[in-house]
Amino acid sequence: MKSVVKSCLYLIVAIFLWGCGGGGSSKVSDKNNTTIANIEIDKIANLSLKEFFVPTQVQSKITVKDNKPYHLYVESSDDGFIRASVDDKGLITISSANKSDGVGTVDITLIAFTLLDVASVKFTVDVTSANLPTFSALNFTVVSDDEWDTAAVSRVLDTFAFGGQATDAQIKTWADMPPKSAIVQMLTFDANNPLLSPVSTQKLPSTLSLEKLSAFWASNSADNIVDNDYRKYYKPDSWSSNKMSWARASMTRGLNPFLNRVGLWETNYHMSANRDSGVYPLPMFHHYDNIMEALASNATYDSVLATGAKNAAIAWQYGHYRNVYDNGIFRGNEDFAREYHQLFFGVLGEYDHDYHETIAIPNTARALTDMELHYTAKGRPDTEITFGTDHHYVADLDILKHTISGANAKEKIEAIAKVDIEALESLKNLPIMIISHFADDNMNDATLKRVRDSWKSMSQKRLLPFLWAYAVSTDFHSSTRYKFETSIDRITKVFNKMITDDSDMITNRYDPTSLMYREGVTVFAPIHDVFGHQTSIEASDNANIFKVNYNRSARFTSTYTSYYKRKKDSSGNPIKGSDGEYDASWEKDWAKAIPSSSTDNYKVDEVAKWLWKRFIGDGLKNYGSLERAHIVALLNGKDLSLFIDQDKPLTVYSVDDIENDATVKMLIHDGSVAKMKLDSSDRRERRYANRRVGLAIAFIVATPYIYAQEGK
Amino acid sequence: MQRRDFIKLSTRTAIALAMSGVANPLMAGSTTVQKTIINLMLDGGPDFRHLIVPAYEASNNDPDSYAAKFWKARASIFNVTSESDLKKAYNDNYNNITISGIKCGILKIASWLEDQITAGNVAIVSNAIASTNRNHYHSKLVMESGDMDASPYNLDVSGWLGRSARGLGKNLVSVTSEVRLSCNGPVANHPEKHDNSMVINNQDSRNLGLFNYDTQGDLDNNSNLYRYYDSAYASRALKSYYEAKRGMIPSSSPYHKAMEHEKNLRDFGDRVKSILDANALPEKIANLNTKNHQNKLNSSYFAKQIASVYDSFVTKDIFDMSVISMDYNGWDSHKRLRTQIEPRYEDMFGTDKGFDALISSLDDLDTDIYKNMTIVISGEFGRQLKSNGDNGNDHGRGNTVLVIGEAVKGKLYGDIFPDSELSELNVKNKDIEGKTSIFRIYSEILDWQQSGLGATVFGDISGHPLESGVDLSKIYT
Repeated sequence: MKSVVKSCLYLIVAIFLWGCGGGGSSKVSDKNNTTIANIEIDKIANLSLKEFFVPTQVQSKITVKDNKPYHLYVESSDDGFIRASVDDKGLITISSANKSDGVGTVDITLIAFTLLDVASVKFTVDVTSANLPTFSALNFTVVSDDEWDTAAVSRVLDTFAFGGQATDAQIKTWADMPPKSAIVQMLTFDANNPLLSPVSTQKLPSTLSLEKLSAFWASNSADNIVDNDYRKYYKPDSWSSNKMSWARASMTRGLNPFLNRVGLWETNYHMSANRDSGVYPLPMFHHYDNIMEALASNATYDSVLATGAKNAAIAWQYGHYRNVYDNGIFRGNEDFAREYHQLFFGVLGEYDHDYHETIAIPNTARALTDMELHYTAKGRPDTEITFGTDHHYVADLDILKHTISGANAKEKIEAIAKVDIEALESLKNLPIMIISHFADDNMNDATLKRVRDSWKSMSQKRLLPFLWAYAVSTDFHSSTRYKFETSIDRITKVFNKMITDDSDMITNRYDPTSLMYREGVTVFAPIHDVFGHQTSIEASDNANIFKVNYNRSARFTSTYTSYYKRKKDSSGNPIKGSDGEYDASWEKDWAKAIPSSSTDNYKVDEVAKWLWKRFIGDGLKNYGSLERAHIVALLNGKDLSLFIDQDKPLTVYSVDDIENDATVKMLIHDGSVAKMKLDSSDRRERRYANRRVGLAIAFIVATPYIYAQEGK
Repeated sequence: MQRRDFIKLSTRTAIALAMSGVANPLMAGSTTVQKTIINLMLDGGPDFRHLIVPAYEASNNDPDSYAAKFWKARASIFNVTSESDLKKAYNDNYNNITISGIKCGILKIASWLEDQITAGNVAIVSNAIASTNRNHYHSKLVMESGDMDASPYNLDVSGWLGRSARGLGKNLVSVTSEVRLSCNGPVANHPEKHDNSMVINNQDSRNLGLFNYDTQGDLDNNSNLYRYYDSAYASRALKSYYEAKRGMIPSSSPYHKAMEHEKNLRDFGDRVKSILDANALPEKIANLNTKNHQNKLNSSYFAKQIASVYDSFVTKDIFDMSVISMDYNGWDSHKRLRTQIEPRYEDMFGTDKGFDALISSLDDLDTDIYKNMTIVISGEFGRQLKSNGDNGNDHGRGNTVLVIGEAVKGKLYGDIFPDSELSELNVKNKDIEGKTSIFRIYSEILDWQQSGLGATVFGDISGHPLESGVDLSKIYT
C-alpha cells in the first residue's frame, strides 16, 4: 500500500498542474508515515471534472493564489474506505483507509475531480460551485457517536429540511458516521444535495434560483413534469408563483430542502417582505434568490443581511426608496432605518436609547437615501434598485457610534452591517433569534449562553457552520429541548413525506400552500408583516389550527388516502380494465418508499413503525401500545373499535384494555402480523393497501406528536 | 421616560396572586351579565392625533395658535402647504367637537365614536406610555405582558389579559387569527411559561368543533354505513384515541397543548354549534362582510372578529368570559398615512360599521351587555406630531388610549395637545413624552371588573408615572 501511496502522490500533483492549465509549483515530502503535498497554483481554470489518485495517509495543502474562494468536496464512491477532512487552513487530511465517513471542504479550492482506483480505493472529488466552511464545534459539545443514531439524524432533517428526502439507507449511513462528518453532508447551501434529496426522474435546471425554477415549472420544456393545467400557477410574475414555487422547490427530489427551509426563515421571518403589503412577485423572487446566492457563496452573515437590505422588495416594503437628501434637507421615513438594526441584527438600542433614537436611526435613514426603484413596462416595481449619488447623503454618518462612510446607500448599508453584526446587542440577540426560530422553544440559561458564545466565537460569522455546530450539539439533542411546529413547517413536512416519487408531483395533489391557507398562513405573506410569520408558540396556542388539522384527517381524509386518479378517454369517460378496475392516470405507490426488506415484506406491525418513524421522527419514543393498536387496525382497513367488534363501533379502548384484555390483545396481534399487499400484481389489492396506508397516515398526523418535536 | 423611571413590575407576585383566584377553566358560567373587557390592539403604533385633532376653524388667523402650528407641522400628510388649504382639509375631513371644554375635530368617518364621545361614553387618556423604547416588537411584548423587563425574544410568558381572566376564574375569548401574548395565562411558580387552558379560540365561531362521523345516527337508523367510510374510520379512531389518551401526557410536555385543544373543542364545540345554529347572525353584522354591501368593511378580518364577538355573547353562558381579545394591524403609517389608517378608523368607528353594528346588535340581544362592557383600544406607541416628508410620521412613545362604554365617565384625561411638543418640532426624531403608565389605565379597568384585580395583575404600580392633574379613578366614578 505504501508504494502505491507514493506513486499516486506524484500523479496527483501532475494532474493538478495539468488541470490548472500549468503554472505554479509543488512540493512533496514524507514525514512520520504521512505524505504531505503542498501545491501552489495560480488559479484553477476550466476544471470541471478531473480524475485523481489520492493515497491514504496523506495530507495535502492546496493554495490557490488568485485569492478567490473555492470549494473542495471529497467523497468516496466506494462503500467505506476513506476519511477526508480539510481544516480551515486548507489542509486536507486523508486519515483512514477503512471508513467512508468524511467530506472535506475548504475555502480555497474549486475543483471537480474523480479519484479512481487507488489500491482498490475509489474516490470522487467533485468540484462544486461554492466554497463551504469547515466544521467547528464552536462552543457547543458535539453529541456522542452513541447518541447520534437514525432518530437523531431524523430530528435534524425534520428541523432543518422538512424531513429531507434522503433514503432510509442514507439516513442509516449518516447515523453511522461521526456527527460532524455527517452534518456537512446533510446541510449544504448547494442548489442540489443529492444525498439529502436524490434525483428521481426529473431533469431539473441546475440553479438555486427560485425564479428560474418557477419559470421552468411554468414552461413547456420537455423536461417539465408539471401538468399543463398547473403550469400557470408557476408563472414567475403571477401572484401565486412565489409560494407555489417555494413549496415545490422544498419538496422536489433532486433539489435541496435545507436551502429552502433557510430561505423561509430569511424571507418570511428574519428579513420579511410581504406580498400582502404589495411586494410584487418578481422583486420577491430576487429578494429570495439574492439572499440564497449570498448564503451559497459562503458570504459572511453581515454580507447576507446587507444583501437583503439592498433588495428592491425591502425598499418597496418599507418605502425608503423615496428617501432623498436634496439641498441640505432630508425627506423620507425612518421605518427601515430602525428595522435594519432591530429585525436584521437584533439591535434595539438598549446600548444607549436616546442616542439610538435621536442619532443612529435618523442617520441610518439618511444612509438609505437615493435608492432608486425602477418600474417595468407594466408599471410594476422592477426587481433591482440602483444606488445613486445625486440625492444621497454622501457625508460620513455617525451610526451605532461608528463612522459610516460610503459613496452611496449600497456602500453605507454594507458598512453598517459590519458594525451591526459585532454590536453587543446583536451578539446577544441574533443567535437566539436564529436558534429559537429553527429549533428551540425551551432554551435554558446554559443553552442560551452556549448559543451566544458560539456565535460570538466566530471571527467571521457565517450561518452554515453555526447551524452545523448547533445541529450536532448536545443542546440540540437534549431531552429538555422542544420545538412546536408552525403550520408552514408541519404541513410542508407532512406533504414532503407523503411524496414517494416524481409521479406524485405532476399535479398539485400535494401542494401544501392550500392547506396552509386553511390554517391562516400564506408563504411570502407573513402574518406579522415585517415582524415575520406565524411563530411556533402562536401555532401551539391556536386551537383553530388544531381543529383544521384534526378535521383534515377526520373529515377530509382523502387528503391522505387518495390512491389513484381515473384515466379518461377522449370523451371524458373513465376507462375500465379487464380486471374491473379503472385505469389510472396517477396511482399512489407506497411500495416505492416503504422498503419490503426492512418491513418483513410489508408486515403490518413493521409498516406501522415505519410510518410512525417517517412522520413523527421520534425514534418510536412516543409510539406506545395505544398508538400501535390504532395504526395496526387502520392498516387492516378499519378503526380500532370496528376492528375489535364491528357491532360496537363506539367503544373506546384504553391502554389497559389493549395491554391486558386477552381478546383485544389477540385481535391486535393477528392484525399486526398480516402482510400488506403493497406490491401485489393485482391492482385492486395494491390500491386497497395504499388506501390503508393513507388512513394510518391521516391518524398519525393528527396525533399530539405532530405538533412538536423533542430534542431526544 | 426611561426604564429607570418605572418601578420594576413584580410580575411574579402578580402571577401568584392571579393563580389564587383560579376556578376550573371552561366551566359553565352564570346567566348574569359578566363585566367584560373587549381589548382591541392596534398593531403598528396608531396615530390617534389623526383621529382627534385641534379644531382649525376658518376664523383662526393666529399663526401662533396651537391649531395653526399643529396643522402646519402635519401639512405634508394632506399634501397641501397653504393655511387656507389646511383649513379646507380640516373642514372637509373633520367635524367640530368639544371635549372637556377643548375645541377639537374628529374624523367625519368616525361618526359612531363621535356620538359615543358626545354621549359621554369615551375616556380619552392622553400621553399614555407602555414601553421603554420605540421598537414595535419589543414595545408590544412589554405592553401585552405587562412586564417592563420583558425579554424581546421570549414569547413564552403570561399576559395581562390572561392574568386578569385567571384572577377572576373566568375564561378569555380570543377572536384573532393567533392568540395574542396578552391572553396568555400564568403558570404558578413559572413566570417564564404560560398556560392557556382558559383561552377559547373563537376566531371562527360558526365552525367551531371537531368533526365526528355520526355513527350513533347510523346505529339508530339501522344503517351500516359507518363500516365503510374512511372519514368514519378516521374520526372514530381519533376521537377514541384522544379520549383514551387523556391524562397520559403531563402538562409539562409540549404535546399537552394538543390534548387541551382537543378536549376544549370536544367539550363545547357541539354545544356552541347548537346555540348558534338557532341564532342567525344579525343582518347588520353580516353586512360587514357582504360583498358589495355599502357597510362592508375594508377588512374582512376585522368584520369576522366583530361577528365572533357577537357570537361569543350569544354563547356567553358556555364561554363564561371576562375578556375578549381583538386586533387590527396596519397602523405603521410611516408613509401614506391617510390612505393607510383612515379606512381602518372607518371600519372601527363609522356609522353602521364595526362597533356600531356590534353594540346595536348586542343591545338587541340584551341591553345589559353594553352596560357591562368596556372597550379598550390602544397600540404599542404613537406617532410623532410632525410629518416626516413621506406623507406619514415616525414613532414616538406617548400615545392615547380610548376607553369606551356606558359605564365609562367620558372626558379627556391628560393634556391632549401639549405645548411642549410644538416647541420641539424641529428636533430630529423627537420622542413623544409619555406621562401616564398604560398599566395604570389598564389597572383601573380591571378594578372596574373586580376591586383589587389591577393589583393582582400588575402588582404594585404606585410608582408608575401619572400625569399631573389626572385622576384615573374617575373613569368609572
